[in-house]
Amino acid sequence: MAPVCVSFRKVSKNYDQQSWVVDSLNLDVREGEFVTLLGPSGSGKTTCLMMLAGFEEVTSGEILIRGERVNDIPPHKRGLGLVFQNYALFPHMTVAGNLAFPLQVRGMDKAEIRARVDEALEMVHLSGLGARLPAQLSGGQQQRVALARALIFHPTLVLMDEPLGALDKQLREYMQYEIKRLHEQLGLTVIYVTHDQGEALTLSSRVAVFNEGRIQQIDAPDMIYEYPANAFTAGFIGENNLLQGELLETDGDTCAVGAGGGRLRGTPVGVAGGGEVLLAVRPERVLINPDGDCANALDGRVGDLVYLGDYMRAVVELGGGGELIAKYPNDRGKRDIKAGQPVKVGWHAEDCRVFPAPPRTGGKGA
Amino acid sequence: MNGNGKPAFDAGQIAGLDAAFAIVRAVGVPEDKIEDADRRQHLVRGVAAGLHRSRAFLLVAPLLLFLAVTYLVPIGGILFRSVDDSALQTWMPKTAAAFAQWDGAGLPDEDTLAVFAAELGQARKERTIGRVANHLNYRMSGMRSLFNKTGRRLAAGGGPDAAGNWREWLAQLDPRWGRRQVWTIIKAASGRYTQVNYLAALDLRRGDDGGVARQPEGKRIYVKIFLRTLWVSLAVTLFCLLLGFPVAHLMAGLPPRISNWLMIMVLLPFWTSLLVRTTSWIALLQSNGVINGTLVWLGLIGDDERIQMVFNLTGTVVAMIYVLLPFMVLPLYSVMRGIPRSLTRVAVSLGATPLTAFARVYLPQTLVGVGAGSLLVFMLAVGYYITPALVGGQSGQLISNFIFYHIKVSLNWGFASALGVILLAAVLLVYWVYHKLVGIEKMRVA
Ligand SMILES: Nc1ncnc2c1ncn2[C@@H]1O[C@H](COP(=O)(O)OP(=O)(O)O)[C@@H](O)[C@H]1O
Ligand SMILES: [Mg+2]
Repeated sequence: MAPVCVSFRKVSKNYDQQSWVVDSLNLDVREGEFVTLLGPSGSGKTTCLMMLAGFEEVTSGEILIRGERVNDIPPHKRGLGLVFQNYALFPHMTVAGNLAFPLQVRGMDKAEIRARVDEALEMVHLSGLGARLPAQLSGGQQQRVALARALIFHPTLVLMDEPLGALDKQLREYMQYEIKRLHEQLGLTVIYVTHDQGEALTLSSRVAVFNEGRIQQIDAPDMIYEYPANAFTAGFIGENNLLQGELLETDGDTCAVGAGGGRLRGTPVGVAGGGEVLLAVRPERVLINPDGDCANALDGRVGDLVYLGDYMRAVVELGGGGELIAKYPNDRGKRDIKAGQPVKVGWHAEDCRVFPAPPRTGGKGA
Repeated sequence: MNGNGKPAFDAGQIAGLDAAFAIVRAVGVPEDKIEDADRRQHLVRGVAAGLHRSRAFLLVAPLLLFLAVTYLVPIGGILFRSVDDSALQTWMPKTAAAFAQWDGAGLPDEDTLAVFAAELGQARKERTIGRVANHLNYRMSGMRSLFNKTGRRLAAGGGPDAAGNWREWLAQLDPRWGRRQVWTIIKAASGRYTQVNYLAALDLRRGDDGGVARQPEGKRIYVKIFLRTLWVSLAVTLFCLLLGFPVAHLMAGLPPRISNWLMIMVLLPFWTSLLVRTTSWIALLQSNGVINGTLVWLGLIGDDERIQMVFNLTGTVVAMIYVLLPFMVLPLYSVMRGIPRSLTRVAVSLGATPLTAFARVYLPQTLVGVGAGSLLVFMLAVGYYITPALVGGQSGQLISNFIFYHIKVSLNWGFASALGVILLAAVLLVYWVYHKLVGIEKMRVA
């Protein structure tokens, strides 16, 4: 395994002596990794990045870059590439001036600066636009300049705070591809902040799901999606049916839960004994009229039915109250399912994860 | 998967357009008809836009009218007044014509004097003599009394007997009529326009040979005052910038809740009468005022060494800095608030020291505000009147105080106008320089 590049050790941060914006954070990022901090707005992602970059003080704990404690190293000596959502291009300098800036402050000679600027412009497909001012570029172009500027002094660790947040969808997908290409081509270590889970799942080698200043789960994108570790991740990543229930019993790999007017089987995740639990089933794992070997089956009636072309999306009203969303492929066999029709829905025990119910009161840890 | 971005096009819109074209094609309207309709619609839109514009013009018309009446007309007025020399032409036209003919050598001949005497007597009877007398009195003091006295005698039927002549009669009446200088002044006033006000405002005069010469040493006043006004304004601008920049920078960096409070403190002085604030400086600065009192009490200066800080130039400069500071802070703040903090952060992350980031990234972007604030303060300072009048004493008077004096006390409006026009020209010059350096269209005031 590659050596550790960045580590957060029990890093906490508060701005007001009251609530922890970042709460005892532990995180190791290895060389060459693309780690995304994903979480709702206000969950402390930017604060983490700013502490790493040196712009916010760490309240307690320590941050190490390649084994060296950086808590007291001023930001201009940390040598990180930094990209912000609003591009942060210097409006009074040309594109070439922006790109040359990091090299100039390093005292590089003019000829070399020019060569590097040209190279960087080429890298982000902007050759020939060096003489323009940032205001004369489109949003996508500006972001590419910002990217090139953050990379031109060859940092190996690059931090990006929602760099694509201001772009429209098409451009964003293109830029995701560009970022991924640069990451691989240049062998960068990237710490990337976003609240867009699509982006996180596409780009990252690992995703750290943030909520209320804590990492809820950190894992590869598919693991995060398939095996959420707690109710927050289950609800935050992708679409999920969440049912409240009561744990009846656990036996090894499965457990029984009383919910939706029946006895349901699922995979327990951190639950034991009894008490309130939350069941999570992905809509695409909900089976309509399942076979006999399916562990769970409930009676219901098709409510809304939405035609998505390759998929159908049905809201199934359960007999015992509540409703479920089911997404199923647009097969010939299921074409005759119509709204209002009674159906059976079910799912396999391994497709249903059972979490301890989160405490009712939200709010940040004190 | 890709969540919540706005699509580049509104699919519905495009579909709608397509449908419209499909319908057009289906009912078989030829393409050029479509174009025609298009053009017509364009025309309609053009007319609508025209109406819209004229309505917009109507809305700003009152302001334009107001500006014309209260700004352009008065400026035109002072421009005119500063060169106006038509008093003699208007009230004693024949004299003006006769003196225009005179070659200016020696004393005027008998015919010219006869025309002058006749018209002077007439003007006295018609009570218009004062207009000419006052006007000429500005050129040389004593002219008023000389004209009045002579006019009175002429109106009473005075004049030389058959053997005598006008030259002797006048010289006998008052020896001043025997001096060429008096007649030269009358000749100089025979035209419609004059430069005499501008010459005087620049401490120049017409020499006896008709050329331009400097005023004698003791009478050179105004150039000095203009220069004083200029450098006081520059000094005030500079100090305001030095004091205001950090304040504005601080406010721009603070969360709004706190910066609003600071803003109130900056604006607080505006809520008090300027007069009260300026006089309170007297209380602070005068010899037995608060500051001197404190210094004496602390034993830093002796009781007989009290520093003269008011009723002189120091007082003017200090009080003007105080009064004008908000005009520097406001535009600076407004510009600085618009500079994202992420810019300096990014500069630092790119390896610049905080100082370099400030100098190369932050400072250049504040220049628009520095320009606007400096321009505003300088313009206000150049024309400042009340503060120097109250705390300036003798040495702290600026050009506007002299303009006031000539309007209100000496009643020489032509001269006051010339001073004003020169001030205006200087201000326009500064504007022009600013425009060349920064660009007037970039000015942001609040
Ligand atoms: N400079 C600051 N002063 C006080 N509170 C702050 C500051 N910056 C961020 N916060 C607070 O910290 C929390 C986390 O913010 P942030 O790290 O920006 O979240 P995210 O990037 O995940 O949206 C928010 O509640 C925010 O209000
Ligand atoms: Mg953020």
